[in-house]
Amino acid sequence: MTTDYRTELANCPPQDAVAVSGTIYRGVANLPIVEKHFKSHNELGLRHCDESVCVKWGLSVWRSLEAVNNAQQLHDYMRRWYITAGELDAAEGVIVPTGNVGNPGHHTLWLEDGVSCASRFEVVQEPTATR
Amino acid sequence: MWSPNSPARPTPVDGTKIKPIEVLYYYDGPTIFTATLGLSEVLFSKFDETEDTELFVVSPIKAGAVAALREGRLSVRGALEGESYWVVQTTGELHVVKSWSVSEYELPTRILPARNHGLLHQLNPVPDTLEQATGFFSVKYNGPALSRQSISFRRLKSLIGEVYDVANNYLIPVISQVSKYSITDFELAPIKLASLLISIKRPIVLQDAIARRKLQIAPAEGILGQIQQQRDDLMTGMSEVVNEASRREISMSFAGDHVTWIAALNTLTPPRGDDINVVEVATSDSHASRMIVIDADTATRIKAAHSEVARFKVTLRGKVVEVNAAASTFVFRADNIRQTTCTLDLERFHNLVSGGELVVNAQVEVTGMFERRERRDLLHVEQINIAPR
Repeated sequence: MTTDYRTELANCPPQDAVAVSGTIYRGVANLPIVEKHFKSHNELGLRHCDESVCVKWGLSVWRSLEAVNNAQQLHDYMRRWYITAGELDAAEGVIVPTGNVGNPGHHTLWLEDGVSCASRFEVVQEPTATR
Repeated sequence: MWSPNSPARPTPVDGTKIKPIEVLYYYDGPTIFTATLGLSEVLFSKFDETEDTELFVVSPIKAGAVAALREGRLSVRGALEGESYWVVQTTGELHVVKSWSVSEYELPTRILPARNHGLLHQLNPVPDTLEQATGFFSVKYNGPALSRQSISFRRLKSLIGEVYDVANNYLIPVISQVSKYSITDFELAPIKLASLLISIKRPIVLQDAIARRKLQIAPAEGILGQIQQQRDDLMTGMSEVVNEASRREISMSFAGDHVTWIAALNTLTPPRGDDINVVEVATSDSHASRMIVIDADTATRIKAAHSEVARFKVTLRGKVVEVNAAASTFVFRADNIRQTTCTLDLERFHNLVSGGELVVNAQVEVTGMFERRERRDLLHVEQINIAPR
């Protein structure tokens, strides 16, 4: 699966997406951190995939630890995740807040082709619960 | 207790495909959302996932809950909480593959969202009940001493009395010509057991009582506005105290500046060892909701500060509401909230009165030894400054 959706889907990523910069937080269910953790459900063919929906070619990420911690308080399964963080450069992708008014901490990140993340993200928070 | 291995207890959603109506939280797919099942609107909250399936806890939506959730005024736990739930296992495409009908007692609490957490993390903590999310002023007591089935009569009377005292002493303004208690009241929401929730829906001005006494006083809107202002001042002051006490012991200088609010919190929080370990105080109106949570350690620090401040020198500012020449005392209201009787030496008192400085409505700043008392606090004034009129 490639990320050539950009040529096939109109307005994808959306025009209001801006170059990513700064710290990105993403939850992973297991270690080690691998590239698969930074692939969208559409790229992996996982649940909720729908190739015609632009946001499903992106990754759900948070921009602050406060938003991460609140998500973990709301979702039991996220308490079992390792929270990873990494810095991305402007040329590596675009990002846009995609949470509705009730979820302002949520952002969708569309990575450029060939950008690797696994080696640049590290665990900043261990799981707070076990199954 | 329910577990994914429990035998299915089919529900009306078996075999259907769930279509989210409003997605309230999204992370690699909808995690908290509303949907319509038959004629009912329900709330889904995801609590587990595997490679192929997702697990949701589902409950009927209460009127007003989604709007309160969306605005960050109600916790997700509060929106979900009820006497029974469905647990629903779906495919990644939200086709229901298995479901269970589960009572509240069978549902592991860890699969529910944490208490007091809403969708907007900036606004946490938020109430777990709609009554708190929409009530004018609410106090909720939590602890092992309180159960859904019953409550000791004595405890109920005591806790209601404490909330009643704070509402009357701190929310209702001084009203000239008449006892304020005779022309005001509060309308309560139905009292809820389990955790004891006492929620004032709104203050009331008793127009009949005003008419009967032929009183010429401010219009009801004015009194209601003052009650709202005093409620907001009370919440601001109590929040400052709780923030301080949640981090460290309260210093005497801090306590001296927050005497009024420490006294209110002391009234609202039961003594340690009372089996009530968390008290929540919430306010709400059309433009904002606020909540403070007082745990047992914080309450202990507040009570320690309260007992210390009773013997502490303080400086208070406020307005004179009564001058009693016969007793050579005056009464003033600090921060427009609680009345304090002030004593000072006779010669100074009479000079200030005869000079026309110490009069009703004068703004004063007084420093002296503060004495906490049951009915009205007492200040032995050592220094007094009266603002020029």
